[in-house]
Amino acid sequence: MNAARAPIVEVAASLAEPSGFKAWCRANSFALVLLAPTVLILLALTIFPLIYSVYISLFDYYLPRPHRRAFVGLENYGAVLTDARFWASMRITGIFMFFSISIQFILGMALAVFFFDEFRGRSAKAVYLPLILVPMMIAPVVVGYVWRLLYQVEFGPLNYMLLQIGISRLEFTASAGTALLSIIVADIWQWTPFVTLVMLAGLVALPQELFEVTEMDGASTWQRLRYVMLPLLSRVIAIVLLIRLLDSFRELDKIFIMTQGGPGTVTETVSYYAFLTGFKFFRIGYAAAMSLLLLAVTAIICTGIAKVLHKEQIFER
Amino acid sequence: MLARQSARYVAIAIVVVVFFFPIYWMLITSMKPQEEVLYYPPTFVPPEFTFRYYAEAFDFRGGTALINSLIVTSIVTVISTVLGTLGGYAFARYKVGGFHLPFWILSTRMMPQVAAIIPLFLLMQQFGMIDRYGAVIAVHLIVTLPFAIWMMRSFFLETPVELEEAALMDGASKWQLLMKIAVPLAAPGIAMTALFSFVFSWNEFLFALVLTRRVATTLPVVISGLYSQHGVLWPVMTAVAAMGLIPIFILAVVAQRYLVRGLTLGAIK
Repeated sequence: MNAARAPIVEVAASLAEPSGFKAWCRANSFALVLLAPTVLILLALTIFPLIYSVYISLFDYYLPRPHRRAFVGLENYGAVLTDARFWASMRITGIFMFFSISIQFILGMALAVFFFDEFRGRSAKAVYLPLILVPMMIAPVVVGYVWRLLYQVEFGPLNYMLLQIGISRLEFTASAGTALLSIIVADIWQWTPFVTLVMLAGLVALPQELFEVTEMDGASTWQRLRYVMLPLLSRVIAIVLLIRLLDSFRELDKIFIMTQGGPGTVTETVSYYAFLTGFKFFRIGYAAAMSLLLLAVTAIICTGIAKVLHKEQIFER
Repeated sequence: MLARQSARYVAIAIVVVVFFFPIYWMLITSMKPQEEVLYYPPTFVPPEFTFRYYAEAFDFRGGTALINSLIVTSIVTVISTVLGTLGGYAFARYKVGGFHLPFWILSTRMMPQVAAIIPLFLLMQQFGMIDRYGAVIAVHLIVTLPFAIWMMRSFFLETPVELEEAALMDGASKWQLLMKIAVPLAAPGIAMTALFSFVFSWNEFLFALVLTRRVATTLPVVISGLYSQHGVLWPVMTAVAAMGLIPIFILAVVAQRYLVRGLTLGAIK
């Protein structure tokens, strides 16, 4: 009896399922219509190309000769993982990310605290703030140009100023010793205002009584920072670091303009190496495999972050 | 007290100079006569200003690039603002797709551009779309559309839902709720979303570089090609770059209040 009944229950349940789905569709049909174009566009422009990229990555494909490509299976992936230049570019990306993000963070935070104290009790918003915001708003290509101009060895203003304070001329991007450092400096200039601005917004949004209380208790600036600001801003800090992490992993524009990865390969980040492999060496299958490995790294970071964000509701209001 | 205050002003002055000097240097370089640029020691305040390099830059490839950038960026802005408003509203009010659908949309903005452009280049080549506006416009949507969705979602989450509930009681349709109530309330947000989409598309480099040749080249692509072609013609090069700064200055002034939200994709107010 029971044995006979069980399937009917299951059938009933499976019948209920689609109608539940239909009901859900009906309830959300309006929202689905609103979202449909976006989802279709992004499917066509990201998911479909990525699947195509997986296919391409299985071929030994020299771009100028599309008809002579040969199926090689997973060989490209093996080749990337044993490519010394790939790992060197990963290391350079790591050094670049570590130094530029940590200095941006420390400098940006310090400036945010400074401006926060400066603004408090003053209704007149600083007119100079937009001037500071310009670096992060202009095109990265222009940032690269501006710094190339400043780094001019013979007639550039930086070397002139260095000479005035008794330091001999630097070669900046032209020398292997200082090229990566020069790019890191440009990146710090570009993105420190971003950290400052976001941190400042975070500080302004905190309950201001907190600061009055800690001030009356005679807390030092360091104590305020360590015990009040940093813990309360952990959500803001998480978002800032996340955005900087993902953006600097993709860094390419400034390097394209300032050094083209050189001298030699000392400033060749992994994004730039993948770009060169595809569009200069024309080994498009190999480049596809490499870029998919990069995508996997990003996806792992993103999934980890998604879990944290979902749990902490960081992206909710 | 006075000493402390003046120390603060000095500190502010230093910060402003450090962050603005490079821009200033670019602007004066574009207005110095060519021979002046190569002088040593460099002149920090040029004795004479000239705008002739702007005219030269415009005649050269700067003018076409400016027009191309305006065409591409305007269309991208309109599409992403409209779709971002609709999609952001769907996410804010109907919670479709829970957490994962909006996060997927966000993650497309975060992926390495080089991973997207390799297959996109091959596909666009097969469809004969290389060096066409359509290709650049489509691909720029990868950058601006996720942004617009998340930005508008954050603005709609802020507008009160009670007004829409009341209108629903009075028999308004869902479409009317959106167009007659939600959109007018979120109008400043829509304006900001449009402005930011404009700048993101305006600044985008890699996609446009790979997908264009001579006809549809945008401003950043032309800027990137100037050095190799013209050796040391710094004034013309900086003049082209300076023309690209105009919308950015407008944004920095007009949208100051919304900059944080825009740059964190609506995550921080």
